[in-house]
Amino acid sequence: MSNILIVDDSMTMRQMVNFTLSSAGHTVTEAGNTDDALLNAQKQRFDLVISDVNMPGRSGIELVTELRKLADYKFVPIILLTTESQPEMKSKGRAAGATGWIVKPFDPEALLGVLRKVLPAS
Amino acid sequence: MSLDLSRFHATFFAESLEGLNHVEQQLLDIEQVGHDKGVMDAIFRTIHSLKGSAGSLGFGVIAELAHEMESVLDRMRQGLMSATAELTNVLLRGVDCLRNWLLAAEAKEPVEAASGVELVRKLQLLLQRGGGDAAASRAVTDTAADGGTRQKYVIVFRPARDFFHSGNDPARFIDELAQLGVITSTADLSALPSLDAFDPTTCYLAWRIALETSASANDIRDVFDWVSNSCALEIEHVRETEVRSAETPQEEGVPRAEAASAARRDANLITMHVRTDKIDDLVNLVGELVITHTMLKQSMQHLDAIKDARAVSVFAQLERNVQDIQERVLAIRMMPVSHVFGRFPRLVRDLGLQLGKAIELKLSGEQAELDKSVIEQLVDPLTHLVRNALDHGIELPAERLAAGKSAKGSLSLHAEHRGGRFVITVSDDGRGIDAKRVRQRALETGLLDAATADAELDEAATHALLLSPGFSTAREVSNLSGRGVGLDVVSQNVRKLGGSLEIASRLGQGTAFTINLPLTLAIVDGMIVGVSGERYIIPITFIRECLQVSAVQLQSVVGQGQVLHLRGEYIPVLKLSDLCALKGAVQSTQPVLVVLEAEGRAIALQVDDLLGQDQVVIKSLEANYRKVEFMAGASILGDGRVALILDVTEIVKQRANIRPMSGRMLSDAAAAPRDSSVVAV
Repeated sequence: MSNILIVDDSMTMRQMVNFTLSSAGHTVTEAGNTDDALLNAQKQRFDLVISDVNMPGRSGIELVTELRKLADYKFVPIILLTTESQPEMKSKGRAAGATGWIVKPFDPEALLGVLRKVLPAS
Repeated sequence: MSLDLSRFHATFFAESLEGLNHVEQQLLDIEQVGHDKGVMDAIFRTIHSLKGSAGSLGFGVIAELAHEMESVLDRMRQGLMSATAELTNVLLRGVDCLRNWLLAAEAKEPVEAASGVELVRKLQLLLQRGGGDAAASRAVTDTAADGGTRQKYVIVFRPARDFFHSGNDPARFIDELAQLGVITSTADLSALPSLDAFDPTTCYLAWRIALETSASANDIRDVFDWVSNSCALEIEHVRETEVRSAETPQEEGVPRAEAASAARRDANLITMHVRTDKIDDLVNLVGELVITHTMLKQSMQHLDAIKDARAVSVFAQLERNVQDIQERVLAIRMMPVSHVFGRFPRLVRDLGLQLGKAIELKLSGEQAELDKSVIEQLVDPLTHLVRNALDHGIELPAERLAAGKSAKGSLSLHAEHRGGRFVITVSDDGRGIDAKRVRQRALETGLLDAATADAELDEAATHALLLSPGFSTAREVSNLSGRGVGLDVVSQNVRKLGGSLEIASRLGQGTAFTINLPLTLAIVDGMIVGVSGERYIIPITFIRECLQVSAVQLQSVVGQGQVLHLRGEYIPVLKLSDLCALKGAVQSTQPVLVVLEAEGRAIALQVDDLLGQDQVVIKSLEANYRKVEFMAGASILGDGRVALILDVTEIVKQRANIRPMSGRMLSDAAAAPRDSSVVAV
């Protein structure tokens, strides 16, 4: 199973995503902001990063940019959590090197669907 | 897979309600100081998160309103709409509505969706007027799939060379396509280089995929949505031989500066939500620990500092640790007083508008910390004082100008630690308390008889009248501070917290209410005194001095018992044995007097012995036994015996009652000393 980092300033979101992923057998690490996420990412290697875009401090887009600079994260899937009201975030995310996005609100099923798309089949 | 999402509700409610409180404050800030990118971003983020979580947890109504607010906020933070009073009003009402819905949902009550319809409409209207196209930011619904009939498509999928760099894998998209129907795919290997030129991080492949599906072309394009910029995509509808462009609409938006917001920098501090009862348990346990420690200390008193050096030094270490733990645990329950202050900007703004008064609210010292339980119980009294100041204290602009003041009234809330106490002041620059009106009103309500009213009432006695039950100078019961609840309730609430309320006022210049509180209700520094073989504890904060006096210094005054003449001051003497109706009191020729002071008044309490000083854990008598007059609680001493803790405030008051007063007894509160400029409550 995969080692996943989730980044969101909303505790509700983190808990939801964490629970969904943990229930599917993944190992999950939570970070509340970009700086924290980068520290975690340097400490261990994650198979997948799921990040919110709008966070206090540096945004999720900046997180993608920073992660892509790290040798270990050149090809690691990074999924952004966006909303339908921010279409420009998608192109920004893409430009920064994000793998894709999940549009909020989403249900656990949609999240697991995305996982199937980016994680190696077990 | 279905997951029970209700387990996230508690976090969601707590986080969202807290967020809304911030938003409320921030909206008011914006209205006051004008546009601030950082603050606007913070507001936007909070509502944005709330919407996301609400939608994901199935609170559609909440998400919908949050969505409309978010659309408006988005335009505001881009500077396309400005925070007019009207806009702020609607947003604040939105905050109220969201809060009510969250509270209802939390209580598992049905959400009153109707109340939001009007708001949603208003927001949409504002958005249109603000030059924004509401539809542009809304979800675009997909065109319906072609009615379930199977269609054939041929898809050519040509990933860009750097396709892998976004962490994507072409195979996954083909897998996902396969979920739409039946696929047959062939890979185009023509671009593959020779092995020595091969770069494993470059994508050389392309695919031609035949798909038979009931899904629409849009559904197919959605599969490649993530990579629409990094691949060439052709989707051909075979039956109609219609080739569609592989391009998706351009989505380049206005570039935005991602400014770091100072407003929520605090939120970056790592915090953890812990249930209050867990902390209360901890506080109780620490209380027990302190008692056990005191017992141990007593049984170790006979140890020899040299012979038992090790035990003594280890014990000293333990003592420090116990003290540290106690401090830290009590600190957990401390919250900044901003938790109460934070609600007033909104209240003052709304009331000011309602009353037609211009008011400037000044908050200071809101970072000072106080025990959580005290903070919670301060909400009502403080709210009442603020409403009272706005309603009765601060005049209408015209009246103020006529009195030579600025049209804008000023209301200040200030909090600070003063010695071992916590002091909160609510002061205004309004009309002050009119002693004549107070007296007249007291006559009307029968609180005062004519004879007493004629006699000169000093300031303290006048203020005491204000705190009498049933007193109100407002001609009509206004719906602001009225409702028949008077200042007496405020002073009662404050007294319940072990505190006191003082009034200082100058006619025409303003009024200040000062609430004086103990820092914590859990542990107190106490002086242990002995009388007739019993032990009592006096909270040290009330002790001014202890002295042994000769009987000569005690003078008898007819009708007043004994008084102590101390440095020019006459202090009434009260025997603790009398107060507690103890028999066999020792008549010492050299009695020990403990001079107590509460609310500006002194009293000398006569005891047999001073036995020592210790930190004691307050246990409620009411909860464990019943209310005992003059006692604030009980504690367990080091030797395991129970001792009662004196309620000094109550005793000082009782002493005042013993004193004969001219005229009718007004009330407990009104019977305050006449020689003091402040009122004891």
